[in-house]
Amino acid sequence: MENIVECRNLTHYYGNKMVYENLSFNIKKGRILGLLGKNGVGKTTTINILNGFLTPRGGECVIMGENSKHLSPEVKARIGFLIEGHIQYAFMNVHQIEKFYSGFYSNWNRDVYFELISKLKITPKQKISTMSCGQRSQVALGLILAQNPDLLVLDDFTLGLDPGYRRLFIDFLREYSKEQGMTVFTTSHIIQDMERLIDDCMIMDYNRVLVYEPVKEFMSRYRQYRFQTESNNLELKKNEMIIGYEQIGNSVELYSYCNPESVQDYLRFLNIRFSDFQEESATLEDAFIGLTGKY
Amino acid sequence: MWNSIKYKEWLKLRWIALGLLVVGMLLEIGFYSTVRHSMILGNANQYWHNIVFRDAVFYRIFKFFPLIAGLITGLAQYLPEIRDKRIKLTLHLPAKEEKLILWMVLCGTAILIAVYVLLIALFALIGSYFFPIQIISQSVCTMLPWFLAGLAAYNLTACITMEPLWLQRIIYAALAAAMVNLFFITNKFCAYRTILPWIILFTTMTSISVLYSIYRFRKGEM
Repeated sequence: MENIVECRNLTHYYGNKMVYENLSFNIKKGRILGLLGKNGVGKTTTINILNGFLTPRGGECVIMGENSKHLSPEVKARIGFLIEGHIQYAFMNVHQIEKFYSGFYSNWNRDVYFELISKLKITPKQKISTMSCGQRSQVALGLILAQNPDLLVLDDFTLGLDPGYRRLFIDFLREYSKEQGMTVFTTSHIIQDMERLIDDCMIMDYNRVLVYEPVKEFMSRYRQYRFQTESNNLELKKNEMIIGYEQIGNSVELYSYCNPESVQDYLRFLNIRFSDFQEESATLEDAFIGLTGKY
Repeated sequence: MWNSIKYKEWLKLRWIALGLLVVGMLLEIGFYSTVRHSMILGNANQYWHNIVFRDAVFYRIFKFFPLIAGLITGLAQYLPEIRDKRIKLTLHLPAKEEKLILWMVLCGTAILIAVYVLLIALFALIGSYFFPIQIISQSVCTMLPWFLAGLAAYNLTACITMEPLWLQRIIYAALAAAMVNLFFITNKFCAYRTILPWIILFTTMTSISVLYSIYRFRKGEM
């Protein structure tokens, strides 16, 4: 499958603080890749590099055959870009902003924009600055979909959205992008509902990539267990068997890629006395917290 | 593309331009009322003498208005672009970035010039009731550097506002203040006549200063 985006060995620092080193990833045509991570792991930095707003200290991003630092107007026209917080020109109303953008895109599809706008309870002349975050998200989504882009780049679109708008955004985006064969690259630190949207996930922690694979494969490997132990202060080393754990009192939540028997054998091998060992079903959000920790 | 940029900048500036025009007109009506008062109720001969032989500037109150108008126009046009880093939206539009930004500057300049031209026209129109054409033309010649200062201030405001870092903004603002000061060295009638082409050239050149700020933003200075 053709790669729409190829990022090779991206390295970036802010002063002496390393964001990441040698980060490489590709986005295949027609796929939806989610870059998931807590605040400050470098999600927006990656988006800024992709859009050419930041020159990385090392490595490069190639989008549709062009270096992201020097994108031609033709390639830019094929990329829909959503800024964190659904930022748009707040001094315009929904008709004015549609008129403004339509002048730039030859394949402008006003129907999809007004389809989304029609769902909002707004007055025709209401300025974007007076809209709620959820309403603004629909305006911003409508605008980038109306461009008919091949690639959508969404920077933390979940930010500030209540569950209803988040669901509306995700469902509309997924349906429309799949129908049109669009490729999507999105970042988020809110994982709730992301399983409904993304095909592939890249989970980042500070300075490193923890997971980079299709969500289905990742979720079929990921296991979450709960057990009781007598020790109030377990100290387990992270390894292939234990990718993370949280202890509250005598109750331990343990995250692993291994089956229950192997984990129990390993605990016995470590001379840890445990009881009530159970496997729990896990969502992508659970897996994300398991990998990156609650703190 | 050009129509879309014109449309966006017009939406940002239309009320500001109208407000500046109204304030400018009120100022003109104000100082011409003083002129009328001085001629009718005061000593008209002395008033004339002061204007003709002592270079008295009866429109002194108007001196810094074009400068303030340039600053306000620049802020009204570019603050919405940097708020929440909306400039990213503009720079992502499918067009050459330098061209986009210069079109924006051109729009702002055109609106500002339109306001200035209307104000100068009104100044000349009312002035012709009180003074001969020579005094009016000398007065316009005296005011021209002030209007050019307004245009330069507009251009430099664009550069300062679009600059991503505060420290650089402060440095640019200090340099801009020094540059704009050159337009206000003297009140003598038509003192800048011989160097007018040079200050027009200088003002024009300030219009591209914003490109440096955009270059720094694109480089990732944040």
